[in-house]
Amino acid sequence: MNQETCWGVIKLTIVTTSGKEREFTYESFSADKGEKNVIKYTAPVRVKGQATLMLNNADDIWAYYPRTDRIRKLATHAKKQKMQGSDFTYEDMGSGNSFVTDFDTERLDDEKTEGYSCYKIVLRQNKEGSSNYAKIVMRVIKDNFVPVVIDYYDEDDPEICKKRLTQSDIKNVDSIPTPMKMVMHNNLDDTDTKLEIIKCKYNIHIDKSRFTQRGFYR
Amino acid sequence: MRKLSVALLIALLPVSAAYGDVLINGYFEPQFAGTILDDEFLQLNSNKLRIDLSSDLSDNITFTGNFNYINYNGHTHWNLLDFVPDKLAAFVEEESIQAYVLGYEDEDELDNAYLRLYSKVFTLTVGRQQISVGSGYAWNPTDLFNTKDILDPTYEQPGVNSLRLDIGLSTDHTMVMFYSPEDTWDKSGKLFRFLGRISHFDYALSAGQRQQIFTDFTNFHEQEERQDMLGVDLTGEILGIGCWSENAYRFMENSDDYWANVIGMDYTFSSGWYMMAEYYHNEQGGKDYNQYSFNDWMRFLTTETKTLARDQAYSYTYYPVTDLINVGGSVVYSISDNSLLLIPTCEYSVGNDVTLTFFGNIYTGKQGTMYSEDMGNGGIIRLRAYF
Repeated sequence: MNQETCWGVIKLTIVTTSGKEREFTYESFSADKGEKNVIKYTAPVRVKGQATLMLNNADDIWAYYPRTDRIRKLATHAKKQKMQGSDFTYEDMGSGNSFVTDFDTERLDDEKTEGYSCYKIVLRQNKEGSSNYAKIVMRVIKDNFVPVVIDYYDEDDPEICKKRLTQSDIKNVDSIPTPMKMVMHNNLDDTDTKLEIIKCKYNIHIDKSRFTQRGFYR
Repeated sequence: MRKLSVALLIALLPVSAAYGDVLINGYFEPQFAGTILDDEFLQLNSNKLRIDLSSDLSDNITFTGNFNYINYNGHTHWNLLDFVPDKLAAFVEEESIQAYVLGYEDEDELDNAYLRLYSKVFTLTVGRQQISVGSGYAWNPTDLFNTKDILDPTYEQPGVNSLRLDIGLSTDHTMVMFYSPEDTWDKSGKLFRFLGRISHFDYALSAGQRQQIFTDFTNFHEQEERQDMLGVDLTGEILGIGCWSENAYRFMENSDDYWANVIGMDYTFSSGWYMMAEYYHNEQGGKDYNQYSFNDWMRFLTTETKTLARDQAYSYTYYPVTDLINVGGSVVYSISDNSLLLIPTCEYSVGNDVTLTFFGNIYTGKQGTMYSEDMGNGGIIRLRAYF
């Protein structure tokens, strides 16, 4: 579950099918248990200053382009768009705790995954949901409730597992178990995107204006 | 101006090195443009160096500056009469032709330099800065300060000397005011915008005023005309499809008042394929190409006005073929004169900070139309390396 607020510096590495890597670093702010999110790129120079504001679990998305000083509101279909060409979509980054409200949950038989004893839970999107995934299957570590593997299933064909997120290097940050490394594997394109948390703080004060369009200028 | 900007940069470089808190970034952009005009392949090459400076002067004050250095070579002088229908340009006498030649001169200028002051309630930006307003992609009727290039609508706009004040009224409501000083208060540009949100829809109410110069290109007499503008923007979605609308009514001091409107929509498919379409109506434009006068053409070519045709449609699409390559293109159709412009595009991420972009431009309209074959077909290859 997401904390009330969170701030972090994250390194995102895209590994293409040809093995080429593209590295990005961004600063991430979230509030209201992940319902509000801001991502602001700090590297490479090509995207430095670009930012994305996601409110209402990424149902409202605004993108800011500092080179043209333009703010563009994106419709919910943009949730499907890859962030900087990575295997993470805006929905993956900004949907907060929507998996609690937008999905119906069923517990399956427990499993041992990545060396951990895990609960296996399947989440099926309900009628109120606006997710681009029909189904999500999570393996949650029994000891600390960290989802160690998450499978994302296609919106149109719930039998197709599009992507798998594997989380590792779990450390206690402000007494909260936090996976410091994540890899999203795209089964359809056979590409990987790695996320590494460089810095992270939970439940700190983040000014409300950060989560407005005016916050892009900060 | 040239000497001043170079001197400023030279002065700032050692300062940045000494204090280490002025960040220097930017990009180098060599560009090759080729056009077939009257069966001749003409080339215009440019090398652009943009230097960005930024510094956090304190917790709530920042400085940002940009210098542009652009060197042109190749076919740098273009006779605008080559793009105007022969019958309209026939009156121009041989000895006057030189006056219609547009030259690309090397540039080195301060494009932007501004201070930004933040507080919990307001953000104040003072200095030369870009002004980008409106929800439209290819056209922005509420923008009093810029005219976009239809071949590349997302390219940087030149800085405008202005003061900008953003006041946060609530998390959903913001008031934005621009003041761009000129000789007198009356001549100065003013734009007021009230931005708000209702459910998933963003709206903006605009009111503005600006003095605009209209040139009579038959005798090069310039006339200033004041225009007042009222506008409204709306951005949201219907049935999952993104949609927007931008509308402005211009009250003109001497000429006829007119409406300008944009409506658009976009969608992204699961595969990542993105497509958008926009319709543009501008009552300043002609209903038919026979209505375009010599002055209409010249004002359009020199960007004094935003359009020749009254009604146009624009569509844009792209598809990420791989993680590093996007292919797509734009189609611009002038409904009023039935002419079409195709702009295929391809962008390749060569490295983390290097992109290679190709734009084609294929004009298919008959002579006299806005996107006539006489505009010349060709393309642009642009490499951009950030540092």
